[in-house]
Amino acid sequence: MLVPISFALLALLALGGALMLLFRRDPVDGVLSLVVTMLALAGIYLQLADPVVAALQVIVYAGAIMVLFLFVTMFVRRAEERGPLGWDRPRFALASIVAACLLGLLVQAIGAFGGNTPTHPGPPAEIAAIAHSLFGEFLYPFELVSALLLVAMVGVVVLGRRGEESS
Amino acid sequence: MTGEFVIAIVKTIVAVSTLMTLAALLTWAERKQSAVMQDRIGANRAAILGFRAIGLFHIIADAIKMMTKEDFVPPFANRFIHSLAPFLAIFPAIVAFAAIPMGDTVTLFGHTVEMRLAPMNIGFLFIFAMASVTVYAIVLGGWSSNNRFAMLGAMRAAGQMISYELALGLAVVGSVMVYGTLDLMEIARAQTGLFAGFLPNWGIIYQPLGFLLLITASIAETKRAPFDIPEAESEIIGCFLEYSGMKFGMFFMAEFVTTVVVAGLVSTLYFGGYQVPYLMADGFHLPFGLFLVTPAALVPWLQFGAFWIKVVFFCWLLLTIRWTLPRFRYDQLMHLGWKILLPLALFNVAATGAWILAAA
Repeated sequence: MLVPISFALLALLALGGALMLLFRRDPVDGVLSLVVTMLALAGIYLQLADPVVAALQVIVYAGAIMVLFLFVTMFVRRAEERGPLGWDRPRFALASIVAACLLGLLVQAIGAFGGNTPTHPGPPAEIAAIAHSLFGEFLYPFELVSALLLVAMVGVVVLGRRGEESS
Repeated sequence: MTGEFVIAIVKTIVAVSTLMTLAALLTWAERKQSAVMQDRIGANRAAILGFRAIGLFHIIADAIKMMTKEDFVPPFANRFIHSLAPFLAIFPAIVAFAAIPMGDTVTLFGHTVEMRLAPMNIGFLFIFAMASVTVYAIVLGGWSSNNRFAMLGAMRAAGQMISYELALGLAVVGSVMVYGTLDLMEIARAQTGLFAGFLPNWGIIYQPLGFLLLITASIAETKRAPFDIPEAESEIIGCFLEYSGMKFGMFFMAEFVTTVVVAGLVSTLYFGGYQVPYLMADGFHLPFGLFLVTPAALVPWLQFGAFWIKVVFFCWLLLTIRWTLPRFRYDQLMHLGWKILLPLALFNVAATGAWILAAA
């Protein structure tokens, strides 16, 4: 009984945060709403008896990525100082199409699960098992992702330096 | 079920009150120790019925002062976030302590009680998750105050904490590799016995570099001198600038609670946690064949005491460092974090791996 209630609360929190992100005008409010969503997701992972993934969700998403988002948005001017968002018609149409495609994919992915929502998961995942699949079975994609991140990082440094030289 | 529930509540009360008492004592120790180090007398004016108790009543005086002061929220500040930030500071600091074992299991009234608040197999990750949430307290506190100096402090804090979290995380990877677990209780248990016949088998023997890295990076995470540019109380006062009364008090307490948690983590990882040197389940096995019988019921409590003695020692060490070293400049801070600590931490991981492979 306790599990469905806490799941409902966490899901409500996650959805509420996501909706707040869409509808709040102040970018800092938006980032904070997304932090709430990230923490609620961590709670859901914890409920699925996966403390490792829950902790990583908090450390990586809530603790590092969102802090950087916050860091950047704080440099942006306050929402009151800006005009309404400049949504012209073609852009709005394009955004709607992309959003509709994404929604379709999500619905399909959720539908693929059927009614088998994991309510009573198995024993908590051991860190060793996660490490074995990450550095064994999925070693190749894992290393590719790290190479991708490194490329992105080098690219950012190069772009940042270029601006520095021209000024 | 009810019994377990009662045990959990009693454990929480005991652990949190010990933690908060120690943190409160540290506010006094900080003033008194800095005074002694600088050849001053330090806090000694608060008196009850003429007794001064070497300034200990200043803790009570400070608490009363903070609670009765005006709680000022600056105009144009974001009221909600301004009030939220101090809670975000102190809550993760206290909760992080749940992963640290204060002793092995004891049997009380027929129940087996583990002297740790939350049995969890992700020990470190939990502490780091909590540490990474505290960044928000500083950043939001600084931002919501709508004050340039507070904002400057918040920006410095965000840069510093993100940079040093990497070194902090990598520093303990060496210990995880040595003990093969993230569970702090398992790590403390593994540090029993002797090394080379006479030394306590503590983690510092296997991870000396990890210890230095962890203690350096965690001072940066507590944002105390020499890593106090986010606060820089002599110039910008940083993110607490617009806080008064108990909201400031919560930031202040969070700093000391974090110090205690860091001391607990360091003693668990590198100094045997609750292990008493030479103490086995049946008594003290001293080198050269000396043997001292100890009642088995007493052993867990000796260990509980040993843990807190170690914690107090590391609190003292952290205070001493704080009052010895001057503040880093921002470029020095970033240099130390990214160009010295991070490569050293990576080297430590590689060297530990090589050592484990060679030993196997």
